[in-house]
Amino acid sequence: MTKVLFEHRGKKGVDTFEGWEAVGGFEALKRALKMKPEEVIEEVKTSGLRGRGGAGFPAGVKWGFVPKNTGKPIYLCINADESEPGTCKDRVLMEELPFMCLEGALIAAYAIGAKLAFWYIRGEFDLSERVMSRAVEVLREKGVIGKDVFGSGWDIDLVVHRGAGAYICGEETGLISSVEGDKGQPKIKPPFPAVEGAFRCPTIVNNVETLAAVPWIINKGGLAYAALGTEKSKGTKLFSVSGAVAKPGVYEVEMGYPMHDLIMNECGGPQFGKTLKAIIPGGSSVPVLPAKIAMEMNLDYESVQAAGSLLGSGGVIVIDESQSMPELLAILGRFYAHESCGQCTPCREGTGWGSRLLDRVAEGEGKDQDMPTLERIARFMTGTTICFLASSMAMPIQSFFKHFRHEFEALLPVTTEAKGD
Amino acid sequence: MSENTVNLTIDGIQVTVPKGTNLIEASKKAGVDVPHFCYHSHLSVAGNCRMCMVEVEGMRGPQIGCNTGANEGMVVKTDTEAVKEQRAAVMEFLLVNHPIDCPVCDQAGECKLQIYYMEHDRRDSVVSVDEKVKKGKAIEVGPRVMLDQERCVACSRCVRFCDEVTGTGELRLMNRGDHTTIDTFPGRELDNDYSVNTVDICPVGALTSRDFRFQARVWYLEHDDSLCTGCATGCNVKVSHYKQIELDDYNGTAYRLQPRVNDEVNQAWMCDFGRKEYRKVNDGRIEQPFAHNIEIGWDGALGHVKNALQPLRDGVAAEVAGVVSFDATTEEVWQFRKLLREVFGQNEIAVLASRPDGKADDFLIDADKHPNRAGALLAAGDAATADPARYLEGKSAVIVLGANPMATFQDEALRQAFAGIKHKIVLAANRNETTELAAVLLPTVSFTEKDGSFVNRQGRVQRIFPILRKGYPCRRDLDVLADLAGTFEADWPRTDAAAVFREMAEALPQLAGLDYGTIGKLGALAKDVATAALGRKA
Repeated sequence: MTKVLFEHRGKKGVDTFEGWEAVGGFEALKRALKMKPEEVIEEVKTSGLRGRGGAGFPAGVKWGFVPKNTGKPIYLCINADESEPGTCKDRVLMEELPFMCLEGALIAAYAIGAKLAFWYIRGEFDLSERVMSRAVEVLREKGVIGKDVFGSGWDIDLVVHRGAGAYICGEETGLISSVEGDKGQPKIKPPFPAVEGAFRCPTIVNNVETLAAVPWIINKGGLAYAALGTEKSKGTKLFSVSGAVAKPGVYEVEMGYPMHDLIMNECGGPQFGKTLKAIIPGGSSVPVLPAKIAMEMNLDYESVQAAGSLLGSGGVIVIDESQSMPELLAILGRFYAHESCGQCTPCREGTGWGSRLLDRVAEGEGKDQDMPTLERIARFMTGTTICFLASSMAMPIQSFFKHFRHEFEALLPVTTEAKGD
Repeated sequence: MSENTVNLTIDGIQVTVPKGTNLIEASKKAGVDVPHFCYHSHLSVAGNCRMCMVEVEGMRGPQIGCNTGANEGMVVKTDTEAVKEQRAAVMEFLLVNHPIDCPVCDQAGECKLQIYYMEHDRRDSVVSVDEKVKKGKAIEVGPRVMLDQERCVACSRCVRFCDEVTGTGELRLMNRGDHTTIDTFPGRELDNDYSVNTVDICPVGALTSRDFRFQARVWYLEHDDSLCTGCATGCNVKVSHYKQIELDDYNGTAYRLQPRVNDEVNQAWMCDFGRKEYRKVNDGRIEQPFAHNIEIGWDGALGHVKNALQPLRDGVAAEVAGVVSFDATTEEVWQFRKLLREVFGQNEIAVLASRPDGKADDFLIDADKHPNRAGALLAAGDAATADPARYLEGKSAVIVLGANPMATFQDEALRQAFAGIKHKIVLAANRNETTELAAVLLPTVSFTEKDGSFVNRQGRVQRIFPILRKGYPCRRDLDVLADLAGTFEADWPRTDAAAVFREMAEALPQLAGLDYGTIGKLGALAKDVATAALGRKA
């Protein structure tokens, strides 16, 4: 299977400047700098590359949204605030292939006309931050970041910005607030960041994995990338598989690869030979699927959606029969209640309230009205807030209830009605 | 229809608004009230309370009205089932952790949570009190503002006010999720000159005024239009007072001033100093006429005046002086000047400051702590003496209207000249150094009890209104002037403030074309007054 991102993974010294050069590094950047920025954007549009942070928005199209000649500086923000539970792909890219990530970011910066980029790293990613800061230092020394890059006349600077540990800074406007030095909370749209983002200037925010694919696309051509994957989900995708499998880890597969093969081949099947109960295919925010359904679907945006969930960030969480779904959902609830920025009413109050109810249900202290109340909370949290955090808690609640209602009901007190009084 | 306006339909009502007007404001124009907490017409849009959801045809799902701009042909619905359900849900979310302590909350009666609960929710709570998140209560967040974090709905209006209007940035939303709360940074307090505005814009009982706290129940209060008399800016205000059915109901007490929107003057704000002006209505008032410090009825007091001044009217030299202050309305100064001239043959009057210049900033606070310097000087015209001390020197009698020539800040020569005058007739609403020396003291009224107009520092003519009545026999200044004149000349015409203004508008080119109707609630600019009559920088 063709590897785009992991083509050079594991090669000796590939995490150094020289090592990256030795495998053909910076050829793409040099090539891009000889192209017009619009041609670079066109090439990425041709590739069909979609945002890998979770939303799956076409990257080239997003770059094309930057308004021309506003007189304002344009910024690129690299979203390395990988905090979605179950997701750990960007971290591997940064720690093992830092120069590939940086090369992709520099090409993107050139394409959108940015002269300053912010590499926003999740606060907890200590090693990633050290690797990236060192790599940026090296590029500065080598003149790849600085004035007149490779004699092209183009100047770029890049700042590594470490977050303070808030999940919501992975949301693009939350990230922008944090870069600006404010509390990391999302902003209302419109205006969209491409028009008015960081410091009220046009800003493009891209995920690390998205940008890491760009050097390959420039080297081999957009058509070569588009030839991979399915018709609507092109190229390859990293899946970080965690949970009840024999070999959890980050795997690159082509879009459209069967989930069954990923679990059984790449990951070595269920851990300890247990039976799988459920799979969350795209990070904790997306709906859970019963293992039976999940194991029959392919891994591309459309197939996962057709099966009733979302591809999201590619964080595959595998759950086996030994685990309690109410307990898992309670843990997720606590996460979202902790991470809600507290701006919007439905999210601020709904996440905490929902979490308290989930906790007591999981502990067997629930009341007979708790499930309808939770369903009501989930319903009115969906799509009613500035960002997607509220919906991200609602989707698990709704899907856990849909597929595993019996596990919750078993923990609730038996009502008089049910007893047939 | 101009290029910049659009037509849209809101609940079936067609309105025309400037393109991009948000749907809350556009709905107001259609007479439709869209409930909201975080939106404020004079602050940036935060879009976080999620209460102002409306449905727009062709847009997916409900949209927040505050951040949706009006477009040509838009069809907006604010009362669909989906919208009603969403509002009820937001109310339920807001009340999950709210302490629901209305019986002891100062905001009760003007609380958006209360009002919207009655309008949009009205369901029993499914959350018991012991499940609620606990936060800080009764925090002295500043010298004039009290904070209750549990009542806060995190709308961020106060945060935006301190960021955008004062630029002082004391307040922040701290913590996350349902532990989110308003607070200051450690060691800092909310102590800017406009801090009480945060109380006004707080839609709930989270921020309350330490001055107004526990003084009155707002559902018994009425709020009537007036002006702040604290400086030359003339901020438009509302005076809160008990509904007065009988004359002795709470004796015409004022409880607070709150800013009233006037984009030409004070936008939607006023300063913390001006808020204290309501105390002039209540404190240190003179409740009865006095003669030589003995309580006496109006007839007796006026008799004293007649006995003292009658002999002086017959002399050749003008022996009666007049002193008025920049606190008086333009109409009062006009009539005062006329009284002196027509009844006592005195063509000059002294127009004095009642207090020295004070703190100023580049926003609303003016150094001139009088409401009507421009108007008083305009009405006094060339009758205003250039040297008040010399003017008073050797006079036999003086009539004082609201002025305080004995104030400690006044020029020593002036104080001595005034103190040396034998007959001191003082008209005043509140006690001060001058009223102590009065031979005859006639009680007048505060700015909330009479008609009149002030001219502010911009040369803007603005009105005050008779909104309160006192239970004791004080009289409106213009009436007392007429009483005085009538004591000596039976046919001196009794007249009201509107008539005096009409007379001035005919005589003074600066006021030409204005009357009480055109001035209205928001005022109107006089011609060339800011430069011509202010005259203090010249």
